[in-house]
Amino acid sequence: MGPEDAQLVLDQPAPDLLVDVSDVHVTYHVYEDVSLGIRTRIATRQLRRKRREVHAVRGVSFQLFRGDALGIVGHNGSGKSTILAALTGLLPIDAGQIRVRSRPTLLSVGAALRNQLSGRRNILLGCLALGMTPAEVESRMDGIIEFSGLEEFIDLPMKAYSSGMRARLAFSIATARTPEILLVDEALAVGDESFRQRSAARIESIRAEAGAVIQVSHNLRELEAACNRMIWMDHGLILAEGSPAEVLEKYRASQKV
Amino acid sequence: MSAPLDQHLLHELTVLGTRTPLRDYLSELWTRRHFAIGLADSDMRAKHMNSVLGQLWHLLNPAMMIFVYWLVFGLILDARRGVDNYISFLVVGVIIFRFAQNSIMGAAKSIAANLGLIRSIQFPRALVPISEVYAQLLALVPGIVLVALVAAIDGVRPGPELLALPVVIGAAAMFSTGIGLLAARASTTLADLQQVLPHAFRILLYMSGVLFSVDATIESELITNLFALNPFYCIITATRWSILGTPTSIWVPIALGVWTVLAVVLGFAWFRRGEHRYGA
Repeated sequence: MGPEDAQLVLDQPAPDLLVDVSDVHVTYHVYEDVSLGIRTRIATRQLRRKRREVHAVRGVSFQLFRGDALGIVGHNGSGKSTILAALTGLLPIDAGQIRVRSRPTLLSVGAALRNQLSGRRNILLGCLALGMTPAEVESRMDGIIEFSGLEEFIDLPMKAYSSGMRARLAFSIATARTPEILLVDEALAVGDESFRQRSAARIESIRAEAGAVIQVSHNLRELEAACNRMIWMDHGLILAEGSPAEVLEKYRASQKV
Repeated sequence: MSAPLDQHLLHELTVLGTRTPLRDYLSELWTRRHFAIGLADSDMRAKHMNSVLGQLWHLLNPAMMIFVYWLVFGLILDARRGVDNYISFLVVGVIIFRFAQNSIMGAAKSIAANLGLIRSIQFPRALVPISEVYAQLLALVPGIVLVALVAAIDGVRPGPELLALPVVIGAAAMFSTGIGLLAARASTTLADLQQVLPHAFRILLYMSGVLFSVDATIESELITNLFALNPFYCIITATRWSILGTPTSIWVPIALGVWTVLAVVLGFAWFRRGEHRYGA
């Protein structure tokens, strides 16, 4: 045992906690879109527009450590995407608490930046928003364009892009600077095969470079390959948590009726 | 579920949704200023992307507006009524009023217009309405060039008051930022506000002496001084004083200063309280 190894043993840290989600509840308040005639309204005494509460996440707790890749599976409307949005701090939570080491970066297909602007301008804007200086963006621009594989289209306005191309651009921008905590919402489902492989490799390298990843997807096989832990959510609750193989077995069993 | 952790591990993390201290917020605003500038730049660029004349419209638009005013008020209505250099007087008022109006209305819309960015990237949200005011400052440049042209043709000789113009425009921009921040937060919970704002500004246009001279129309000094309660009147009158040398009451700069400080302080304080709710 050399001196370096001894040092390693002494410093052996407790697993590094990056995210702590504890008993989180999220409720959406929305107006119902029901057109009742004025007569029905008076007859049923529903004079005001009905405000409904959608209880999307109902008491979810989990923790994320350095090096973790957590997959979340569940049906549509199970609260997967909501919990990701809550983790970014953009969606206010009603109860519970989320603690993070640094602010997570969310990667989502819907995050088209600005449609009228070219891909190049979107990269500039996105990177500036991420906190880079103009000089830093300048030096990274070519690398980002190359990774996105959109060289041919980079000066066209984004409205001319297909949804897959948009997702590729968004992914390339969001991962231009390695985030400590990356949230991926179905982003890999849209790119073509070669981009999928490249982005899977980049997620792997983010995971290796000290960060942690949470991925939401309906592509179970891809998720199983990319994750070391998995959560199954249904109706805003966690039904199972554990290794991908265990959780997926339960999840698949529930789907065969 | 996971085993309970040592509390000290939890203490190293920050709780999401807590407000950053004002000092940190302001310093982050400053370090990310390039983003606000880039956003304004892109907006200006995107605006006339699909037109044949493109960026030239930033100059042509105010020029055509001035031409219309010259036609209607100068030639057809001959509405000079005791105002020296009426056309210059009108053009200065219209240009600076539109600057404040567009800044505030743009800021009100800005959160909804940039939802994609807000939902995908974390940055101090105040940058979005601020960038809108900055974009209008850029748009003001061709406006000022046209004002200078019209004033020169009108035979206006600017005095030393012209040196105060950057201060006056700065105050107008700060005031618009403050009110814009208020409008931006208000319209995230009450989108209806955006329908009301154009009408509010239509009324303000008539209440702020853009098209007529308050001093020349109203004789009572008490009432003209009451106009200083209207911040838009102050902005317009101060700009006219600076460019055209129009005499003005001492209450105008005082009121403008008070309004600017009030708007910026209240605007920031209230906008920041909703910081983590934008994008929901």
